[in-house]
Amino acid sequence: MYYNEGGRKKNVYFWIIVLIALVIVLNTPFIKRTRITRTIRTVSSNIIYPFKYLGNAIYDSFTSRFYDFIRVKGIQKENEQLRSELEEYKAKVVSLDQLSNENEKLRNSLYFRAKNLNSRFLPAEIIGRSGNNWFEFVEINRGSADNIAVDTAVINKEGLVGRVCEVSKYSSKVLLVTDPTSAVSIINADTGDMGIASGNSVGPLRIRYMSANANVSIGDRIVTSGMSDIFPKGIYVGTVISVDKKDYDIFQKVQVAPVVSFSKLDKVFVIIR
Amino acid sequence: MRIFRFFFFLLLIYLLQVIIVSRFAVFGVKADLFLVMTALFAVNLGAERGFVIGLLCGIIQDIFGTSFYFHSATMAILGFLVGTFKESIIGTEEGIALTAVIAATVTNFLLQLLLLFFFFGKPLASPLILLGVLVVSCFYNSLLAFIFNPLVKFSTRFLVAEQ
Repeated sequence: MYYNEGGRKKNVYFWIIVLIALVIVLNTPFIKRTRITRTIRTVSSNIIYPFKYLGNAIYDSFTSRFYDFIRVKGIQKENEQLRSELEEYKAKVVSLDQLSNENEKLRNSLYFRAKNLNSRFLPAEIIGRSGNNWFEFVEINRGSADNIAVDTAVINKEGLVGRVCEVSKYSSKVLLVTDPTSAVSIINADTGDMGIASGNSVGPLRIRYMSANANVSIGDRIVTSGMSDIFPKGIYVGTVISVDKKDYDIFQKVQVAPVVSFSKLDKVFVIIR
Repeated sequence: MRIFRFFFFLLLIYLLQVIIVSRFAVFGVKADLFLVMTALFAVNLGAERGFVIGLLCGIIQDIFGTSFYFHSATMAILGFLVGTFKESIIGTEEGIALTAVIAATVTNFLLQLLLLFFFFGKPLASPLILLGVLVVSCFYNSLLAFIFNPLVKFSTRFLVAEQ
């Protein structure tokens, strides 16, 4: 068979140029706003969901086999049910605890408290994790069939996990607070100073727009401010681990260690409001 | 037909990545099974097929991802580069595979950093943190390459053979 290696490589170079052009086009805000790409992702998620669910079930059954040997089956089932309920209550306590400690000088606190208390915490399990080190998301086994919508807050017993960014019928993608495209309006629970926490993939969270005059110190607790409609007020986000204040800057650089251990993330709660 | 076989094989790899591999992060760094597969297949099948396999891997990552669409391009380029330069690597079969995976990890890291700098307009983390991520990624991906190389060699015969 005739094989023209030079010609074939030229073809590949042509396709590389086409792909680079596609990268630029597909990532323009105009294309990203259209529903075409989102629809493709939603349909694909719906198709792959049963396989993911099955794969997780098989993996979990293998890993829990050890525990099955030492537990009576009935007690284990009851225990799991109780544990699930306990985690739900713990998550509620985290939220309520922060609410009770928040600064009374903030406006509309009573309005937000009432809103938060009326929320329903829908338990969900992680069925998939991002394979990329730069973009941090997880997939949960709840979707539009469970009344989940885009921009719904997700927490666990420790604190804020992230927000729902894509919804298909039986599963959803949750953008973690550590993702570089994530931004959460926060407040320093100890001083009342506000800012925006953005993700940093591999590092701690960064607080942007924290005024240079703000009194921030290492160990301060950072909670959601409730300024956006996505995250209810008072959810624990993390603890300040470094403060870099310079005389000539109008903002100070603050780093926050997230309270949630994302590598051990297993069960979460979606806040349905 | 072969391309569909490859696509279904890569969907299995995707399930393996999101269900098992991504659970085991070392110092917060996850291994990239698609990168490993692209590099290993490119070593075994050459530049042109490496390009196509990289493209398929990238498409899967872009479809099931959340943010920017660039994996199709970066992975295709990686497959092509590994296939092109594999002749320059001298050593045993396993040595070539490991070197190819490490080279692919470094190239992919630099390509993605460049693209993310383009999208965000700022570096994602300090150079020291980035270096740490790169070193851990190289070790972790090499370990996966060591484990998956026999599977790739075996499956190459099945996936490439005409029916």
